[in-house]
Amino acid sequence: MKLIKASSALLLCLSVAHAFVPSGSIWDFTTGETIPFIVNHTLSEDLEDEAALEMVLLSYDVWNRLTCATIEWSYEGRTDNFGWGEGDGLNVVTWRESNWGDSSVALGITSLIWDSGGSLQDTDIKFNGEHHQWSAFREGDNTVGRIDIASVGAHEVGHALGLDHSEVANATMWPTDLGGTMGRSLSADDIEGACTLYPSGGEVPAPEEDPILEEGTIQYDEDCSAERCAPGLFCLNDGLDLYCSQRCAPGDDEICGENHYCATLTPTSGACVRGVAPATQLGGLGDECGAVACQLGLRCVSDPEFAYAYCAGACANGTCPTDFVCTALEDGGDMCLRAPPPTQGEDCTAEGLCAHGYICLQDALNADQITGEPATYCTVTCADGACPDGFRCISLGGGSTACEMAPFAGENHDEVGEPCWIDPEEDWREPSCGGGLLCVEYQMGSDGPTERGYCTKTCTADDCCPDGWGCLEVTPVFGQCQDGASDSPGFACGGAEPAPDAEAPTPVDAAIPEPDPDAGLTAPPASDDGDDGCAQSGVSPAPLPLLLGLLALGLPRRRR
Amino acid sequence: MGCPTTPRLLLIGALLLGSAQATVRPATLGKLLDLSEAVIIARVVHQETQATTSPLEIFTDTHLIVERAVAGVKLSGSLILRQRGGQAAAAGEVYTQKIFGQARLNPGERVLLFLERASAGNLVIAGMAQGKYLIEVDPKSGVEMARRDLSDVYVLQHRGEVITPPGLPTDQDFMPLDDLLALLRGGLRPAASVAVEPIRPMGARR
Repeated sequence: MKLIKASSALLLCLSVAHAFVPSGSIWDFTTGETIPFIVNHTLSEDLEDEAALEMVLLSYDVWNRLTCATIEWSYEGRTDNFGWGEGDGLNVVTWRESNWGDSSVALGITSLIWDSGGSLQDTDIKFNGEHHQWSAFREGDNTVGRIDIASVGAHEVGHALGLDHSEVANATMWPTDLGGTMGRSLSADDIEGACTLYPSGGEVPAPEEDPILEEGTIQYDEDCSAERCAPGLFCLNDGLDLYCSQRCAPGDDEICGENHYCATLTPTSGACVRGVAPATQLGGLGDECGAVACQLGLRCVSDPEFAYAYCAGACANGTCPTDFVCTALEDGGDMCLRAPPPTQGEDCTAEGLCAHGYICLQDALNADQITGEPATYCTVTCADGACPDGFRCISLGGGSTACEMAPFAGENHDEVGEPCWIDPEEDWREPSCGGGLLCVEYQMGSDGPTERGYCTKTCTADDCCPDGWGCLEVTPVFGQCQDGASDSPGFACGGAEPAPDAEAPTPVDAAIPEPDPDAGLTAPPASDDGDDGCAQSGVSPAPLPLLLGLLALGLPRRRR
Repeated sequence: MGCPTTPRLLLIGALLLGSAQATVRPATLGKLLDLSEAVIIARVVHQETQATTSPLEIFTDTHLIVERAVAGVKLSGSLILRQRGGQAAAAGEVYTQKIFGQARLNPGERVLLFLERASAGNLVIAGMAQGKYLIEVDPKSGVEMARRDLSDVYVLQHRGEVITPPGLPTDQDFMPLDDLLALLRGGLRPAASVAVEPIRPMGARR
């Protein structure tokens, strides 16, 4: 081998933009000199030695043919030298049928050694005969599953010349071989690269035509990571592996065979993939999972605070999206978990989801007084009739129960005009108006209250109603304050007028319940008789529409 | 791995730093898993290059601290990977040996490595550059990303168009680390029923 001084001036000239990429080290020789190489006595066991040697020599010769370059590799014969990667000054080609020593997927590796001036000193190429089968790709040769020696060799020799990978598709120095013997034919980019590194001033040859690719031979479900599928099939990536697949109609798994199913590619077309059919949708962060898988990067987790499994993901620098909390796990690490779910009495409007053991109840009886929107809160069932304080057990129909928020139960509403209710289950506690006030104008159905009432009070001429309220005569002895009304003639206010704190509903024409002096409260008497009870109690005999419903009880949500 | 529980392992490999070229078969993640004796997340803490003369041979030892055993043999502690190549002085001259296609390891890097035992008995990075993912935090999102550089690998593939069903990663060279780990766990493979993983959060979440 001729070891030639570095040509740093030439290297500096290579700053112009080309698709080919110089590696930064080149052979330093003048026109007429050659770069010798030797070939080990042992070549591939997959073909005749003569054929293998011919292909090795062709690998060098494709570069020697370039009339525009001074490149001249010279074959110096066979050798016993088995060294690879050793800086012995000998450019050796070896074949390893055992003790490959590198990753098994490697087909050939070239080692370059250069000095401080960038001048190449030693290039060795080794071929992996231990894990791969090779061929000369001559007519009649077995080429199925085999690698073309000259294609791989030409690429490796290009590197041995100081060429790095090209950015031009289909170039010999492009980092992807398209198969067959295509690597043997130098593209225009390969030629430009070689002739720029080693210019001779000669004519630049036309690029060689690539051979026509033969049809693929890889069969259904076989590995297509390196080779093309047989006609009618295509290569499918299932995330881990590449294998030949075929078209199918979504939902029609039978055509795919055992242990395969038809995965959806588009709404109307599918491809056969390995495994068992998953759900058609993938859950996003926080979405319920189990019946469906989670999207990429998410895990389906069972969080003890939730009644359902949901998709959770890793925290990003300790942060999580809105409604999620970066939570440390006992087993290590952290995850973005759903924010603590609402529990008894807490609002569940946004998601319709409650903590484990709770249901989200939509309660029209506790509607917002301004918007009219039903109250939506988490509560528990009450099969045994027991409910937390402030709640009462109601039937939802179909045998289902829920603890409904008993409006104002247990609370004292001491101001005229404040809303009130009566609890038929615990009428001894009701009405909820305190301070000796009356609860009037509420409506009752057979299963309980259907409309809220308001607190008011009895009045006389000396015990005036709040501003804006009038004292309407009930009996000649006393009257009752009603909003927006005028004083009855016999009860025209002659004393102080307290101002109501809360807005009261507009009075309707209804009988005024009479206070029960024995109860110490002004509770309207509950009626057993629908005919006249209304007139005396102010309770409506109308059937109670059950305005309660489950807004959500572990309903799966989808986030696409 | 000969001594999987030994904290410090000396791995004699032919992992080449610097420059040599390699033509490789494409290794899918499934193939890399099949090839690997161990898959680890590690940090590169130190490198030393040494050279011998007559003949000139250059090797670089890369010291790694294993952070996590992802699959296969549960490696822990520190590892030393010996790779052919690097830059060293010998006989009054500075020589550089580079093997393109090899996974390049640089001090300070956090990496996910697929480690394959070569037939010669040494551990190497499976699939050469295909078996190394550099882990970096995306400055915008804060998400840990796994990236591999295959620019030095000549991939022998003539498979034509590859179709990827929706929901699966199409780019196996750059993806969130969690996605890569999920792929390796098989969690992203299609399944009829999804395994629900119990978790035990610590403390209050409010």
